[in-house]
Amino acid sequence: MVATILGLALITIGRLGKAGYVSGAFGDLALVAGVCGWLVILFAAVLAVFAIDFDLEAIDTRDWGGLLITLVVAITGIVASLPLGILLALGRRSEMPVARFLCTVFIEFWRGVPLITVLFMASVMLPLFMPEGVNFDMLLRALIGVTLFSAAYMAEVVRGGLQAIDKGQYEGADAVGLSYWQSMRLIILPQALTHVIPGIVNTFIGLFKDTALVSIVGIFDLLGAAQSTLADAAWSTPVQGLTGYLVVAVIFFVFCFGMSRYSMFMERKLNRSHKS
Amino acid sequence: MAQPQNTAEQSVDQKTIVSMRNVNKWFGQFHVLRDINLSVDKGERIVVCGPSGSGKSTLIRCLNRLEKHQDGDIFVHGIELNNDVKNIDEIRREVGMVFQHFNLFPHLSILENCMLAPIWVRKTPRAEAEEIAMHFLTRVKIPEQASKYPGQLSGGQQQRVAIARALCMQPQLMLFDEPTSALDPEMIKEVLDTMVELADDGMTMICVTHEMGFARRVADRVIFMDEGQIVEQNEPEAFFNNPQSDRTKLFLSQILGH
Repeated sequence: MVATILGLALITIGRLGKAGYVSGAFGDLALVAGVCGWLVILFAAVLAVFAIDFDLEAIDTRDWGGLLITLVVAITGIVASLPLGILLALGRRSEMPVARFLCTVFIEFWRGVPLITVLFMASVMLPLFMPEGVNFDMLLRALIGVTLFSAAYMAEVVRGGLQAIDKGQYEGADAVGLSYWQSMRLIILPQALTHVIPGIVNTFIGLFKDTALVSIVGIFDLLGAAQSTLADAAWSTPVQGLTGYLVVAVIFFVFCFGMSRYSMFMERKLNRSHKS
Repeated sequence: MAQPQNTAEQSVDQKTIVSMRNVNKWFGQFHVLRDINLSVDKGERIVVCGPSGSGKSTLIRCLNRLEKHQDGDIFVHGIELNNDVKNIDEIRREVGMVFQHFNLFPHLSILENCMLAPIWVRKTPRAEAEEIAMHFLTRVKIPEQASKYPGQLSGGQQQRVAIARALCMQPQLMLFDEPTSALDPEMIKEVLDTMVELADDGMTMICVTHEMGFARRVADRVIFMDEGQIVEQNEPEAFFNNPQSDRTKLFLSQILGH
């Protein structure tokens, strides 16, 4: 209740700021307040949904398994690593030395360690650093590790795209008076991301297949589900293993090929609007 | 939001649009601009010429901070050009630039190219921005191309769109960096005609070009630069018929000889 009212109040301030009633530095503060207002409303909405009793049993993430885990890890990784990767790429190319240094360190570190190591660190080492009693959800740890890992790769792919854009585009955007973020959002990123769609989808497909590694840290994913049938006497045949793995391979192929076709569709659609 | 006012000492209807005092610039060790002193009044049309590497493009690129000068002052429309981002943004709103390689945005239509800056920089409502864009596209004589994309236009048409895009911000000063150097001879005329019309309408412009015919027709002053210095500046007739310096004479004999 309180959160909703607070949120609405902040949004109103934000709107006023946008409409120009608040001047100067307070105008920018008003816009920030507006964004915070939306976040507060979102938070209140989530709380409200959780407060409703749907009379369903809550299932702990330890009990999730199979294709669901694979999809959750892959989709979360994909959706979260793209914006983070774009920000890292922009930061690495920034003129501010601090931003550039931090982004470079982040990218080089996360690219320098294998994903298995990241997952092991997350599952085994992280609890050692946490204070007594604080216990991060296992799946969440894997999600964060996979996202940060993938964001570093994505950052380099996007940086390649940014470098490929002709310097004249940056200058044209500057000359008409666009700010840094406006020129990035309206001019540079649309072109850069279109150029590197093959690279981005490549990274996504790689990420999707890399999710199989979470079985190493005890998360029961699609591959784990197939492997568990090997121990099941009811399904015992000479080709038991082969069948299981073949099915998993086909499922992976369907998803990865689907992503690949979607990327070709996106490229064709975006090329039509370029017409160059 | 109300347009931010200049400081109290400088009134908005300045007569001096550009004032460069003892401007120096280095690219590493290379001294590209040496003690440049230049003043441009409202309504003046300046043509800058000189051999390649003389610093003429760098000179005009310093005026909208595409290049940073290391020494001296530059004032554009009364606003000092320094590291203050607010000043740079204000100056870029008042200065339009046309590039040698057009630099149109290929993923946007011609109309969107022209509407972009008024909408996002001047916060003009979309409908009004569209009207302004169509007005200037008509003025450069290509209103029928509005829904096409830059890749579908010829070089001369693209450059005219670039001129219209700069004009849509209704700047006080237009900078042209060798606007016809990348064009086929047949297309040079259409772009020069547009620029001549613009000049006749009273736009303050500084133009780096090799088109001496244009300079004769339109310029109030022709400036000759060599090795980073302004060697000579004069009215076109005096400049072409009676060059003072030997370097100017050499340059003119090379460029007008053939």
